[in-house]
Amino acid sequence: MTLQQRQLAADTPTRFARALAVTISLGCAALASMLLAEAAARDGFSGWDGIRAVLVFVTTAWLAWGASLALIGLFGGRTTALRPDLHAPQPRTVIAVPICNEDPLTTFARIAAIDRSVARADVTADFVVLSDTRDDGLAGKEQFAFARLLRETDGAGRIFYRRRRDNSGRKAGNIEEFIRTSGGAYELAVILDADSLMEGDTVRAMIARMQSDPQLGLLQTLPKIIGARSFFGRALQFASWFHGPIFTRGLARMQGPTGPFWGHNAIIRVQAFAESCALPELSGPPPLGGHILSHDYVEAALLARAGWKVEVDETLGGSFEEGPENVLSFARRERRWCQGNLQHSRLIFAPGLAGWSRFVFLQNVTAYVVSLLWAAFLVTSAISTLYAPPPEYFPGPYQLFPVFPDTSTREITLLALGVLGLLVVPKMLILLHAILLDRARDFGRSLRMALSVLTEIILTTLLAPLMLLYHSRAVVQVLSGQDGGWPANQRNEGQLSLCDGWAAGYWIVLVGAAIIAAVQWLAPDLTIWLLPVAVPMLFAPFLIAWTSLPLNRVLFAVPEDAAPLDVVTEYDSICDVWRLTWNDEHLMPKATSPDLTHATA
Amino acid sequence: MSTNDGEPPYSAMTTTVEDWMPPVAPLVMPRQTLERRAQRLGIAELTRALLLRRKA
Repeated sequence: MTLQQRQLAADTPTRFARALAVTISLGCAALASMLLAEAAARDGFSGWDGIRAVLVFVTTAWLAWGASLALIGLFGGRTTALRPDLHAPQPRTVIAVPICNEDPLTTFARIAAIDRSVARADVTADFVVLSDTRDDGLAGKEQFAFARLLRETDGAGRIFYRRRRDNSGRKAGNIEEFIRTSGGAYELAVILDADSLMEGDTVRAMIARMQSDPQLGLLQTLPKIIGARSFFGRALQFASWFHGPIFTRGLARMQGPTGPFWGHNAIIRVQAFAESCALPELSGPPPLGGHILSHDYVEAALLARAGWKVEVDETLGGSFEEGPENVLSFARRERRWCQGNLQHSRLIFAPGLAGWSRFVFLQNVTAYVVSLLWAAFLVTSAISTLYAPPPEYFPGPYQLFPVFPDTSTREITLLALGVLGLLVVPKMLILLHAILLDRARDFGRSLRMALSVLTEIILTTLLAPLMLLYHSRAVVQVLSGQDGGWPANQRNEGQLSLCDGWAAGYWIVLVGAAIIAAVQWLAPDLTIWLLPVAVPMLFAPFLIAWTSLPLNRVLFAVPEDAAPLDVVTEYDSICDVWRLTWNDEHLMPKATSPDLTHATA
Repeated sequence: MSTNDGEPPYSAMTTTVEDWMPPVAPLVMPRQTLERRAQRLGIAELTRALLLRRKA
């Protein structure tokens, strides 16, 4: 073990947080398994019951792990944020924006807004747009927009644009190529996405943190979602502002110096990245081989392997991104992440990794496989009732009165309440914490905030069965060798009709109907327990369409609604002016053009 | 901010893409090893670490 790696060892609070989370998870999992085994033992414990007990153990452990993140975030997080001053001379810094088939107007307007904000913060930084756009026509429009950006920012010599001949390695390869060619010119690089916005003060604070801690290889911010319009989008946006910081604080406490990289809205030490993050292709064909899709987590693990600290700081504000506006867009992104995360199963035993990095890879795999395990639990529950012996009402030869079998309703109810509690209690605690700490002012006062939290819980509960099926399908597709590639999210996507919902969700309706019919036929006693899962499936097209409708700002208020930060206001105004004065219409793609896409990390 | 009034459309602008390129300052990026033979070494390393820890 090298000196640097020894220095990366987790400190006592981090080790305590990890031990606490593992204890909570295993404790809850054991309790759930015991409840299920006890209920199953009433009519004889079969092999199927054994499988169910194992499945409940794993799935409950996963839920409890998420809950423990929130608990640690609430009660065990940092109390003071590190805010060193930036000293002269400033490290040479570049703000890199990898893009691929993006809307040029909004992409370059964002860069213009960040450029102004960075200048106001008295930060000297170059910008580079790293284009992987394959379509020549769209690339022409990028160059057209870039020319305008240069003129309006007076950016010649400090704002650059380069387009690759091929896009090998996708986004990771795009950044790698830039570092191989130009990395020697910079000490630090802020990595943004095409939809990222970042305040100049945040960039300044990040550079100062890197300057004050030479062992820090990467500092990740918590990007909050802005610009959401639909019910689904605003719920997601609210969660990112309200729950996100607490969960991320828990994550930061638990991960210590082997933290995460989410691919954008982060700063890297270029030399550290260069010496440790050139990703290999995985052997074999996609989906499990080939380019590593979820490259960011691997890069974080490789930095830690080389002895560099990787940290996330949720207290750094002024870091934004856009989010999916409807369920389909979300599911598309999940499909890509699923494939990338399942690739991590091949890296768990990669040499030299920190133990925590291996555990993170295991978590990334579990995050998607767990849906399949829930589905397997439902199926085995139905099957186990088929093999249960019929109740014997007159076990004795001369018995006058029947002996009714013990019901297991109590245990099953406790189990269901426990699972629900793991999902709901952390969010309710965050709500209570927000009321006590007067965070309510930022979220439309206590009543609106509480209503938003409750609505978000109801929405996620209704959508959970749909997500279970989308995740399960994605896992099955990947494991059966279907490569999803890198399908980008549609930008400007938004409202969906009931027809769209039906086209995308009819198979979920069929699955839901089949589940209810099969269970009603095979084990009618179980039907009532399956309704919370099956009924939302029957209404999938309606849920998909309805949640994509625009929502006013009464619900899901976030601080950004009331007081948008300078960089956001500036971006909006630059976009407005550019749209009005863009006198080369034939060059600009239409807003609904299918070739306008957005690929997040 | 320029509102572009009275200016020629951008399509009429002549731009030299080469001028937009970032500075050339190559940096070596050694390709990392993550699997295959290395993976077996990793398993061995993990086992060894666990056994040593247990002994300690």
